[in-house]
Amino acid sequence: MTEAVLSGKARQHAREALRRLVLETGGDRCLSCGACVVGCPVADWSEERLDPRRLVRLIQNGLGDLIVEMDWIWQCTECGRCNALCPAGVDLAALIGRARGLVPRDRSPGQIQKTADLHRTVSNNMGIGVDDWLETVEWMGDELREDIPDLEVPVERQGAEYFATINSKLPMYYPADLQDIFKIFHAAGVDWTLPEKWWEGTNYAMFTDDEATWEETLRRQAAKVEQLGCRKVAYTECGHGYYATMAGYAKFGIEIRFEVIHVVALYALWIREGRLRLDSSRHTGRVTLHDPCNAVRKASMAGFASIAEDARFVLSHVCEDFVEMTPNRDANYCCSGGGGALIAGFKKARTHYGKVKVDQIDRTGADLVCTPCVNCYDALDNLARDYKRPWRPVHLWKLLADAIVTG
Amino acid sequence: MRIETQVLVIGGGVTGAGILRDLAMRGIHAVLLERRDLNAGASGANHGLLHSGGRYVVADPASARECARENEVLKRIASGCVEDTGGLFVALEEDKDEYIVDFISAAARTGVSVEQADLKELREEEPFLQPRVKAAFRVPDASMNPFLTTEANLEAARRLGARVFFYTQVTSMQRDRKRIARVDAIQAKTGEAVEVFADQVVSAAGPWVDQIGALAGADLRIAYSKGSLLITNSRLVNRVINRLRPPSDGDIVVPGETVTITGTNSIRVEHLDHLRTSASEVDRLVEEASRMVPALETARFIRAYAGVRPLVLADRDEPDRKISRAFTVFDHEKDGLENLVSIAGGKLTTYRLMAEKAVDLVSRRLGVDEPCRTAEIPLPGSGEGRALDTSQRLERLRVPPPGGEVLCECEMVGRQQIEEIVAELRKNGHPIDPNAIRLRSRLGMGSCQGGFCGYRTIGYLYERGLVSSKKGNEMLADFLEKRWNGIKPMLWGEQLRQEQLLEAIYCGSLNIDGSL
Amino acid sequence: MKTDCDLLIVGGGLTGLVAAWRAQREGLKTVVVAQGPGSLPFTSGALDLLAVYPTEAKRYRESPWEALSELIETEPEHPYGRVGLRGARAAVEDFLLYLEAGPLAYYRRGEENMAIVTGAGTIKPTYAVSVSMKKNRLAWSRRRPALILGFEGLYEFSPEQVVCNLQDRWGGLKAARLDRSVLLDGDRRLTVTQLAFEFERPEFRDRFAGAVKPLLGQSRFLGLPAVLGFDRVAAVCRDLEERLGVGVFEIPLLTPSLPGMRLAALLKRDLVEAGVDFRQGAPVSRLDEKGGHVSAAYRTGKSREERILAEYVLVATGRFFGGGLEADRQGVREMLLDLQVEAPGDRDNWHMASFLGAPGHPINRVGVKVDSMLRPVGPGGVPVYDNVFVAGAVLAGHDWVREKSGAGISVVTGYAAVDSVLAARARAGGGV
Ligand SMILES: Cc1cc2nc3c(=O)[nH]c(=O)nc-3n(C[C@H](O)[C@H](O)[C@H](O)COP(=O)(O)OP(=O)(O)OC[C@H]3O[C@@H](n4cnc5c(N)ncnc54)[C@H](O)[C@@H]3O)c2cc1C
Ligand SMILES: Cc1cc2nc3c(=O)[nH]c(=O)nc-3n(C[C@H](O)[C@H](O)[C@H](O)COP(=O)(O)OP(=O)(O)OC[C@H]3O[C@@H](n4cnc5c(N)ncnc54)[C@H](O)[C@@H]3O)c2cc1C
Repeated sequence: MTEAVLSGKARQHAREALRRLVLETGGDRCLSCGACVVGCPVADWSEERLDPRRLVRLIQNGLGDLIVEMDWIWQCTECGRCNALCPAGVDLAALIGRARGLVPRDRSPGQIQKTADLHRTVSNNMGIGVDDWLETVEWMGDELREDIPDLEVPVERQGAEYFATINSKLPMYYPADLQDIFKIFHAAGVDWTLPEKWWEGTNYAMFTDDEATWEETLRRQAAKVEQLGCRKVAYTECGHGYYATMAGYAKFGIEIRFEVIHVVALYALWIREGRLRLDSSRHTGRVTLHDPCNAVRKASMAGFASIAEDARFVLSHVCEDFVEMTPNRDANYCCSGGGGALIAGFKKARTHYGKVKVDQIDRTGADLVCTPCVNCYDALDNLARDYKRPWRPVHLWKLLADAIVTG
Repeated sequence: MRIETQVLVIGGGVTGAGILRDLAMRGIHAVLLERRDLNAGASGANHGLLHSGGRYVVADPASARECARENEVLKRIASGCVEDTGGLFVALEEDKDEYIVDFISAAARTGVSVEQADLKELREEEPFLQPRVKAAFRVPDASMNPFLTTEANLEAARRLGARVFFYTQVTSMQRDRKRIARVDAIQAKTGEAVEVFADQVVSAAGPWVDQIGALAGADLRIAYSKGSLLITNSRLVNRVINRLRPPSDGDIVVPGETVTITGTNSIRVEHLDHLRTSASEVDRLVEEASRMVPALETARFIRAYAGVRPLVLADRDEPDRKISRAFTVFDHEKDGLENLVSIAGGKLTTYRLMAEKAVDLVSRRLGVDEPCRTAEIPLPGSGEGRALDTSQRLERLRVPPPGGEVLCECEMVGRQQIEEIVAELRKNGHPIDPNAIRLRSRLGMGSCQGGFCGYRTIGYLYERGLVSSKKGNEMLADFLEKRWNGIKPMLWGEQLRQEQLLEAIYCGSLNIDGSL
Repeated sequence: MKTDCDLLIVGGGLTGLVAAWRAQREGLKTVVVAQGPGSLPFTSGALDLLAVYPTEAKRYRESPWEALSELIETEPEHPYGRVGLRGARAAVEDFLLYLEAGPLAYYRRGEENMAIVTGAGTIKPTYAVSVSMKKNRLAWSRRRPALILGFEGLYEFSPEQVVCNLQDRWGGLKAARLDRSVLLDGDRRLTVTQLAFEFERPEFRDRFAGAVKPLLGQSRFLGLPAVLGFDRVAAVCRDLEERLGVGVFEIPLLTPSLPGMRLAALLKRDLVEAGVDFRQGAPVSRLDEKGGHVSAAYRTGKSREERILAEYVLVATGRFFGGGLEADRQGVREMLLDLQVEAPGDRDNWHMASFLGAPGHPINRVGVKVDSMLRPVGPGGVPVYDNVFVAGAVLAGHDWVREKSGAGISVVTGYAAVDSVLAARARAGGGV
């Protein structure tokens, strides 16, 4: 960033706020051991090469303002590998988060804050109005009914068991993907609904540490769920949306009378219950799985359900040639687009450290990289193109929907 | 080795260094011998507080005046060694109001600048300060790095032709009636004997002055008062915080670059070596200091160290805190010695003045009438626009340059800085080891207390061919053992975890305690 | 959310991992809750059993088993003493067979200890090492000509240090360093992480081999810092050996240590694939206990409290570093259940005057006291819970740092604790 990001008073505030936080989040427990550096895929790869240990040390010494002004905090994908390896329990991700929050909103890079603002004002990231949304849902439903005549896509259905969330990129850019999702819910034969508003299944405010927006969007969505009287939220394939929701309810003390379940856990449940009949031979190619950080490592670390095992269970029913990438599950590397990095800009840096991911995938020899996260999907898609790789990302809903045996 | 010089200075603490510079500036040829490395005595084991004089206004007005004057001088001539933080005297609810009144009037009498602080403003400026402060006063205290100060004085002297020998201990003196004819010393690293022939000898051996005096047959009556200090791994205060009450234990908290230094106390000891700080001393200091800065109760302490003040005795039974902290120049004429001067007592804050007085006497004896100019000319690295700025140093290493990796992560000391120190040590013929590098940087002074960076430094010395055979590993073990004395009293909480990690690495993974 | 399990293991260090591995194989439904990574990622990955005994005399023992029998005789309160020789042998044998057959192809030298070269140029005794250090032992024991290679800018490792410290006993040993520009483009920093990423890439290995070949001379072995990839070390070593025609080995470094991380990763992967529910992050913060019986554990993190119902609980929380024990200025506490621990007097007595000297710091022997079933005991040696067991570093009465017995204690007591669970279960009529 060229001109100073922080003004005099904001600079002083940043220094003291971070200094306080570093004590609260265990920063002075740092043992200087360097485990975080080994965990971090961006420490050595990004242009600023900031070492997490140094981040703590600068903040401790009242130089947090320097951190706030570094691009590094936005290149960090908040993947949480540093936290997982830290023997002293220093919450480095929280420090990065707060540092981002201290950047004036109008100076946060790329589209992150704009996205969050739209979410607050319009109820979804892409600023899709209710009419457009309903029209898209109807259109996709109609198309799908050509194959599945008894398909129903309930909207605003009072008392439905499941309230489904949808990533707004779908109605905006990939409407056909909605059909896969409709198909799965239909085949499972569950009582579900889409709301007309507050269906967004992401939450970028978490990535700019815009707590007010984060909290407000969660409260609005929760109110909608309760208004419809749903008992469960089927959280869509979006890692950070799931994480922001689970962590956010606790963080902001939002009392809810429903349960939030990641949709991948539901796929697994429905398979176990015999609701979904599947033919695993439809996918002949080799499939590997990219574990989304937020729904696996970070979920588990924060103390709520990881989807790692359920995703594998589902995959074992929808393809025949599954191969693990290493490392995986809790130890997996970020897709290169996490923490809002995908929409923060810094394409060069992202591509650079994404090489780790590319190597990981290459070694599996897979044709398809399944990832139950819309954000990971896009990041992997970028990597495949930039590195001219033959493999392609695929949503789990796609593999699952394709494997469903109807009739 | 045979050395001939006009003046021999014994002791490489801040006083000896100041004397060497003053002599050199008056055109007097001088040599300094120090039995260890720089600041091996009290100069390397103090609070690092450039006193405003406030602490002494009531009980010791003479000292207060000296401090007030020297405070101004040093902020000018030693600006590169001083961080001008400012200081506060704070009275807590339990402190006596009478003392506050005495303090204000005594300050006016002694010329110590004191200004009442707005308590609301203060809470913003010092977020970790006890919120229940009943009165607070601003004083021009500052934080001073004694290692940089001594080194800058030595460097100034070297540039004018003086010579410095480290690890050279004075062991005996040959007396020829009223004169010391020869001083014998031994070089610890090589075992080589050194003979010094000097017209005048100045003993600036701190609490060891009585021992040096005894070598020459002079009787100095000194008592030893040990003071302990504790360090945390982060800087919790922005200014020096003093308790506004008669001087007592644990009533000063100083921000020292990246850390907070808390102390001190005063305990009579009989011996000068193997000083240790006991658990009960630590507990008392933590308890007392956390009354002013409650965060200290749970802060991560990383080290304790102790220094000895030489107390010049008039009466052996006087309580230590009452004995003047002013200094004494012994001219030894009454002992029948014409060419020995001893100087002891005083403070880091007054080192320059002490040096001036000692050199005035020596000059008189040598018939040199050059005036003292040490108060006017800045030290190397100091002067107009130069300040001790930790932020700048850290900021530079935020993104280390290629080839300039950070060797010490806790204190952020880069390879380039170490290269410069090593080059300097080589140029001056001083021994090179991790401890010498530590004294001239902040390497090994942070949370890991040398555990990681000591290892990397040895690796670096091997890489550069500056050590060979098993010497480097011996140096490493020695370095770890030396640091240990100050680590041991502080092993609870997080610092115990740090110790357990390091012990596991050195003994568990690397088997350095018993390599096959 | 609640989970029902037969065995809840608190702690994901080596002890917890070993115990979980065995418990799952014995048919116990097992949940592991690990707050942090534990010690394993910091170890050399070399498994020590017992190499110095008695520690006062710093006596090195070629035969760990002989030393172990003596120790068991004289120190019945030592964790090894509690388990006994038969149990110890069975555990070590079983666990090593598993590691030997796995991708890290662990190696041991029959029943004896072996010696390996470390990054400090010291020689470390140990019992078993991963495949990447097998030739470390061979090269040293035969003193064959070897090149110790470092990297310009990698300050964790100095090949000169290794060579200077060993050359009087090892002719034909030489040091060299590779310049970063030979290997990498741009001004990227060389770190352990960076190198590990690079060594997993064939293109890099090709470039590396090209640069190293001319340096080898008469060397029969090439010793490198432990940076040969994260989880493909066997393949990386083999590939380098083929390209260079010499034996390639790794040398353990300070920290963090890749060989330890690889072992941790392998164990976790195998556990999870075998069905263990492994949760890292949010710690067990409290337990429901009543009348000497623990019924549930609670995990609190960034979400709502999670309850885990368990039939048996294994405390494998490590010492101060792992978080099982904590000290404040007044004393030492066991953090999970406030089990009885006794500090060695006041703080002045916790440590010796010398950091590295014998026999070791008194505080290192502090820990949880147990009976022969590894149940924690209170005053008078009576078990305080009927379904809680304790294993690993947190146990009282050992000083693994000085005995060189770290991994051994974890493996032996980890197995023994599961045996105790099985026995208790059988008694209670549970059966598997
Ligand atoms: C606990 C404590 C806290 C203090 N805090 C402050 C403070 O905050 N502010 C302040 O202004 N002052 C402070 N002081 C006072 C200040 O530290 C001393 O006044 C000052 O350092 C004295 O320096 P010196 O050079 O006279 O003595 P020293 O630093 O003790 O130097 C004497 C030197 O002589 C050497 N020596 C001894 N014997 C021989 C020999 N035979 N041959 C060669 N060399 C020999 C020793 O190795 C040593 O290096 C403090 C003192 C103590 C003890
Ligand atoms: C730096 C280092 C080097 C070593 N080198 C070697 C070596 O070369 N060879 C060798 O054989 N041994 C070595 N060891 C020793 C050995 O590996 C350890 O002693 C042993 O692994 C201890 O294992 P543990 O599982 O009992 O404890 P730890 O590894 O400390 O694990 C404790 C676990 O408990 C968790 N925990 C604690 N409290 C809670 C809670 N409330 N809730 C949930 N989880 C909790 C921790 O997060 C951690 O996962 C080394 C150890 C260290 C630290």
